[in-house]
Amino acid sequence: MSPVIRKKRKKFHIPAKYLLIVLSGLCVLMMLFTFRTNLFEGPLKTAVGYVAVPFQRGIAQIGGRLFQRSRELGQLKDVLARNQQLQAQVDALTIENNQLMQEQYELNNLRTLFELDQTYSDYEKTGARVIASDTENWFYSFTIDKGEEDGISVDCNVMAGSGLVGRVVSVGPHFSKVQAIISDTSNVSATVLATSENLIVEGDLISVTSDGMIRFSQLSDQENRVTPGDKVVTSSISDKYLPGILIGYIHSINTSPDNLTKSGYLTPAVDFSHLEEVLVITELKKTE
Amino acid sequence: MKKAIVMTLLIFLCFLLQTGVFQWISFGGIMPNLLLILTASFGFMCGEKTGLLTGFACGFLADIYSAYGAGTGTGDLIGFYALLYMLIGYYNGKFTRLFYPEDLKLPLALIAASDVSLNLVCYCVMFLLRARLRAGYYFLHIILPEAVYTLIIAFLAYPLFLAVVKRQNRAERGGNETFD
Repeated sequence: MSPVIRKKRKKFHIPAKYLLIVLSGLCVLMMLFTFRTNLFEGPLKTAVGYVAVPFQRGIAQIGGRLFQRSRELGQLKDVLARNQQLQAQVDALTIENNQLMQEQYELNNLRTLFELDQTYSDYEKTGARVIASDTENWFYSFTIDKGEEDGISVDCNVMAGSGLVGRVVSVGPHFSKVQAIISDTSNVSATVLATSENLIVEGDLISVTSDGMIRFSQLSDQENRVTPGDKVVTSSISDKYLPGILIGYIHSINTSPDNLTKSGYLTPAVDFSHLEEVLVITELKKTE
Repeated sequence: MKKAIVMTLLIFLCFLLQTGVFQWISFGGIMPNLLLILTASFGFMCGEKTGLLTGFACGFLADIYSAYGAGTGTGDLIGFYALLYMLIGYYNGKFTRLFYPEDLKLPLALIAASDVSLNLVCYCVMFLLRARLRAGYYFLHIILPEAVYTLIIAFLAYPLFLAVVKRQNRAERGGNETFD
């Protein structure tokens, strides 16, 4: 510690205050630039793709396996009891299934006859694994392990099971970011399947965190034909979402203050709390 | 130089934990904010400059992975969290003189205050400006749970960060180097 021995270093030191000002300016500039352009997208995405994604992919795999294992252990007893019940149900369902198969054949024949081959089972899909989540609690978005080179592009629709999860908002070479429909800034144009009335499904943080519902509005239903339990699917007038993908079921309906439209809540078809694998539809909606 | 490498690794590690692991331990949909703990604790342990640089790096990573701004323009909005985290690191650095490693009260209080103020700003900018007016709900259901959960994680994480800093100080022998 003696000042004689210690070599006086001629290191260039920027005072913290100036550094703060310079970096703040940089941040503001970046915000302005990235608000309307995607100037940094390319290089940034490549960097993230090569540095962070491999690690995240590994963690997601391990984490998924551990979570699965703990869930398995917790539910083992439950499962054993239910197994018996289900076995009985399987028998009943097998019979029912046979009947339905026959009807399915008939339906397929009729479909080809009417060229109504448009349900979403026909869309080109690719499976992807969820590898990272948002760092904050304000929005619902996550990262998946497939990207541009797997045929995914911005605005590709994302599903889990049979329900709509959201859409891709940005892609890198081997990963892409998905914004969920429950995210507060998300809006989806949808249709009530039974009555073909259009409505807007608005992601809403309050209803999602309080009881797992999504809010909807702009439902024009003068004759009160829409009832709770009705299926809500993506509408054909949406410019980002392919038509006919299941979003959820109507839970409650209220008349809006303007007395013209109705709003309410719907139960999503997808369990958003623990998404592990999703299906990405690589086809894009053609709006031209 | 060695310090910079250690910091980079630490930030990267925390980032991976935050995005990859914490979704598995999220409680009622709320994740603790490890990047904030890192930023705040290096702020008050090592001073304004280290704090703001750490904050900038953490915020930048948070920016890349957040969906804010995804619907507005063509790309993501980058720089928002970087600015916020940097300010948090900087202002935590102001408390270096009051900081004693043995005392756990000040660090935890600072981390909690940082988390609440970060989320308050987030609410004001990202929700209030879009006419989401139920501030009380957001405070009780998002901000407060996150602050509490972050504090619990800080109990575990802060001693580790302290150990890293102490080790670095010992390695540098001088001891006053990190507190510039």
